[in-house]
Amino acid sequence: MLDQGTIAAVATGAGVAGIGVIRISGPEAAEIAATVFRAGRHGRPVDLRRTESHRLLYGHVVDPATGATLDEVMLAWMAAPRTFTREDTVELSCHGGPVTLAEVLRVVLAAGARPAEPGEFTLRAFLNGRLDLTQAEAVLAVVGARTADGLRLAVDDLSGALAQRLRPAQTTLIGLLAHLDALADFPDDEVPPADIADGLRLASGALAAVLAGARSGQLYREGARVALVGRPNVGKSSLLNALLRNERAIVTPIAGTTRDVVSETADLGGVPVTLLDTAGIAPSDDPVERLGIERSRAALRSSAAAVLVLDGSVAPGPDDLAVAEALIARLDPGDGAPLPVTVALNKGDLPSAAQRAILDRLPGCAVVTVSATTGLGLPELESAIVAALGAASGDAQPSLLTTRQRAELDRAAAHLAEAEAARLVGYPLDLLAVDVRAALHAVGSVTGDAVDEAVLTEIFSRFCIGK
Amino acid sequence: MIDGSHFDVIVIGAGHAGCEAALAAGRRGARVLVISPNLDRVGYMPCNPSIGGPAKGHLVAEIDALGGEMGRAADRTALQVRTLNTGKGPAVRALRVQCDKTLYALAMKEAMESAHDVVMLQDDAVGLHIGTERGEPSVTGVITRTAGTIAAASVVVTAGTFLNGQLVRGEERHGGGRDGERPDTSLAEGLAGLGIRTRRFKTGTPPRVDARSVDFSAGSLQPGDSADRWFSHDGRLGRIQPLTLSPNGVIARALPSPTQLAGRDQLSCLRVDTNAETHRIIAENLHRAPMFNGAIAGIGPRYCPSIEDKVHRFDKASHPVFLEPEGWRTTELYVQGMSTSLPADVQLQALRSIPALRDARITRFGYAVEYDAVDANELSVTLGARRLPGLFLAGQVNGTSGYEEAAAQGLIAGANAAARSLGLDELRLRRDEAYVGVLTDDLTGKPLDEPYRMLTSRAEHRLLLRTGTAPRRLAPTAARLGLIDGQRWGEVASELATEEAVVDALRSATFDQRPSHDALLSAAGIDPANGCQSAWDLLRRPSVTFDQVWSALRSTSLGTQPDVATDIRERVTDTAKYEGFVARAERQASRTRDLDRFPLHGAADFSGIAGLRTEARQRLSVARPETIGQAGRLAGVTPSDVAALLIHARRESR
Repeated sequence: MLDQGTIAAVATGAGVAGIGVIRISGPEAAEIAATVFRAGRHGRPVDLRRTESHRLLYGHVVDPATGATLDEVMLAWMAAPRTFTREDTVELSCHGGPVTLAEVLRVVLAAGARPAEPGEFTLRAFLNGRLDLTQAEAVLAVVGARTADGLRLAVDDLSGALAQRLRPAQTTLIGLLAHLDALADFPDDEVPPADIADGLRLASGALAAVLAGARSGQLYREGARVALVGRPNVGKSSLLNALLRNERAIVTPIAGTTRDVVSETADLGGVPVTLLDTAGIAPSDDPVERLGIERSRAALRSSAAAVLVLDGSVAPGPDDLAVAEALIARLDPGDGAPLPVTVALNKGDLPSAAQRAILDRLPGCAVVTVSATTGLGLPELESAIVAALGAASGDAQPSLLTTRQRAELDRAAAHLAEAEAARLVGYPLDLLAVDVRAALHAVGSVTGDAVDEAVLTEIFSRFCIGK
Repeated sequence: MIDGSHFDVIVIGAGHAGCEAALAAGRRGARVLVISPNLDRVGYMPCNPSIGGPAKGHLVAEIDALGGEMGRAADRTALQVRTLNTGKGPAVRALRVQCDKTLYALAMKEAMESAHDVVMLQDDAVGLHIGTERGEPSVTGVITRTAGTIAAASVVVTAGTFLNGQLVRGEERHGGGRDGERPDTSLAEGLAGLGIRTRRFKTGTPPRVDARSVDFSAGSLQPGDSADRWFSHDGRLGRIQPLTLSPNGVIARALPSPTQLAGRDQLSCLRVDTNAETHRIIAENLHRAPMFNGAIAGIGPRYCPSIEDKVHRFDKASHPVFLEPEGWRTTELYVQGMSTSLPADVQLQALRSIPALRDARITRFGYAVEYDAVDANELSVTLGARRLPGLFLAGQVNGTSGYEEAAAQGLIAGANAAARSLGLDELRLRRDEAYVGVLTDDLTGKPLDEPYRMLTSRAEHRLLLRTGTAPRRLAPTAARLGLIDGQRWGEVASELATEEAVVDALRSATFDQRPSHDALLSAAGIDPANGCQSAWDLLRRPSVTFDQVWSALRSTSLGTQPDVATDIRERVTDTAKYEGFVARAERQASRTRDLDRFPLHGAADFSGIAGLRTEARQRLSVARPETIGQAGRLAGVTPSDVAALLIHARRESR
């Protein structure tokens, strides 16, 4: 698959960013970097082999063929083995955008490096003993993290937290399997009795806990869409802006924003939440307005939660009621997932009792009094939204799972359900070993205790180039 | 050889491994010479008079599907037939046959003498003749005591427990391969001289008692099954002429009377139990037990413990003991469950503490045998020695226990010895394909620190390895390699086609809720159909039997359905009832199967593979697994190491 040559790639994500890093790794990293790098203001050539390792050098990247300066960079020289790949590594932090980065990479490749294949840096880190298989997989999550909390979770997994969390399920399954195997071999009276039902329930419970954490972990990584709804002029847009001002991480404008539904991503309690500022939903005869309302309803359908914005300074009118009706219908839709609703009482001067006509019909929904202008109640609203999305609160442990890990754990849970069903039907107990073994294998392929071709292919093909 | 004859394969030993090795090699077209120190001991059963049981019965079914003789010999000489584990899942149900051990040996010798191009010679093999092949040493023949050196390109050693064998009982100890036979020391020396690693293992056998001294009324008689069951293809097709000798006179009166079951006479066994007194006698004499006082250093099988071991290790009020007839015309009974090397007086005292045995007369005392077993990690899964081409080893000499384990290895080694001599394809079986595959994989790839007995739990894919599926799994391979002939293959294929036709008939016949269907089903004792259901769906109901469904089907417009043979009925029933489990087991197997497809040949030097941890590198260099799958099953090799090996293999294949 791969040779041992020197490889290079853009090591930061695609897109416009302040800084882009080009990583060069392999035996020729120092020489290749030296070919294109000129240090200091006067453009001196450097001999990295004689330079202290793990130091930053200021300078420029030049095209050796033309002598043209391509970018102003910081060069980090890191000699093996104290590097990510355990090979000689040079990282060039460039200032330019995608075009400049491409140019710098071009001259690095021209100087003798080979483009890294997807996942190749991580693969080398793995092959050189720097990472084990599960850590390698966690690198993907680290790279994909979008908020600080998401990153923390991913780093947790990098240090084996996920495997730790799966340990109870795994231990129970191993015990169960040993018991079922013993039943296959020995007369029943020679095998000490064990409660199979208990074992299955314990294992399923342990697995369910991790999967629940995964659902909130997925929230932290992938975020969720939340629709702000309310009658026109109730203050949705100012509330949106207030929530966005409160951001703690990166806000990315999402392309494809419609004229009628404005969407922005905010970091709400660590969850990247895409807020949809819908046009007011109110009965209207105006065809244009009705089109906007239809789009608002569509936005509602694509959201994981909704915030109903009410004007707290006046009693609710028919328009407010109409909007609330639309939400009440989705609270318990019968088919499909219910849409959790958080109520924001904007401009909250009046006692909330004034809104009773609506609030009574939204039982169990959090009600938060906020002021978009003063910022009053915004942190509480954030927490309420995150809680409504199902993020684990307090002591529950969210974990980040890759699609593969998630699929494996779902598979394990399905096998345990099969085993329990078979037990209830009264199949001979030794038959249950099929599903218990499969469940154990699935869990093992997440903790790194079981590996097969499929696992490996999946892990090393999922890294974007450069990581 | 001195008479001018030439051989392709020489088999040393004519026990269960040696016989199957010779017969398999012969079937593949090799000229085979079998050398045994005693031609009155061909196919001899020195321990229990039975073949099969869980996992072992699976091996016998596979041996039969691969053209071997063991199942036929057991079928011909059965004196009791039982299916064990009927209350458990389909994976662990297995046939066990009690045999007349004299007739069994006779049947096996007859099979050997009937085989084309297999000849036997009574002589002692004292060493291997070593020549060179492409500059490397290889086996080129056998040196015998009397007939001199005999050349052959492949040699199969099936030395059983004879290599430096020592028989131990209480304070007694003397050289012996088994009771009444001298050990082998020259061949042991010869193998050691070739640098083959060995270790010391121990096994044992219980005493035999005289049926005339047993009170049969003080135990419970265990009759055979009334169902018509056979290990062998020939048995299923009604071609077996049982070898029976009706007991008469004194012997007939001493043994429980035979019962006519499934069209043949069957003898009952007697179940008795040890008690507190038995355990006290044994516990008080543990200091005289060679296993406990240090006289035996060899490691015994955990799964076939001696009675002193059981009393010492398990805190139980009693252990079951079965008295099994050793033949139609002998009063000797095998005392199953009382394997022991305690001194003779303690053996007698312990037996006599059991009411049915209070006047028991021991005809042969139990003993332990300590012997050199070869480290089977020296072998590849073909059972050929990796470092000495031409040498194959099979049976108890490889550290296994049990006739069936020995016979299965013999078949593999014989087929591969012929392959080497004649330039044919090798016989390698995967873990998800056969118990024999599990056996060879475990033996050759894992460190073995006690005698290896086949257990269903060792086969992680056991649901796919049900005894009934052996012909489907293995007959195509057997036919391709010439282990079964064209006629036999045709019969198997037609049997499989019949099975499929039955499945199709069940799947295509549907019942709905119309009154005429309700009547049909209720006549067959089946609850009404749930909407529209196929006969197959009905059979999947836990309480519905094949016969019920088939009788309902016979009365439908589909017309008269033919009678279906017992074993096909059972196979189809299992397929229907456990369809979902089997499908999931198959998916699981396919996930892990891939790793066994990656060969590690040429990777003798694991130091060149990036990413391996030092410990793994050391383990791999010692065990030298043949595939990545085998590497992954080694202790000390982690999944990360497996991943590193996989990446290496992919790189190599580019």
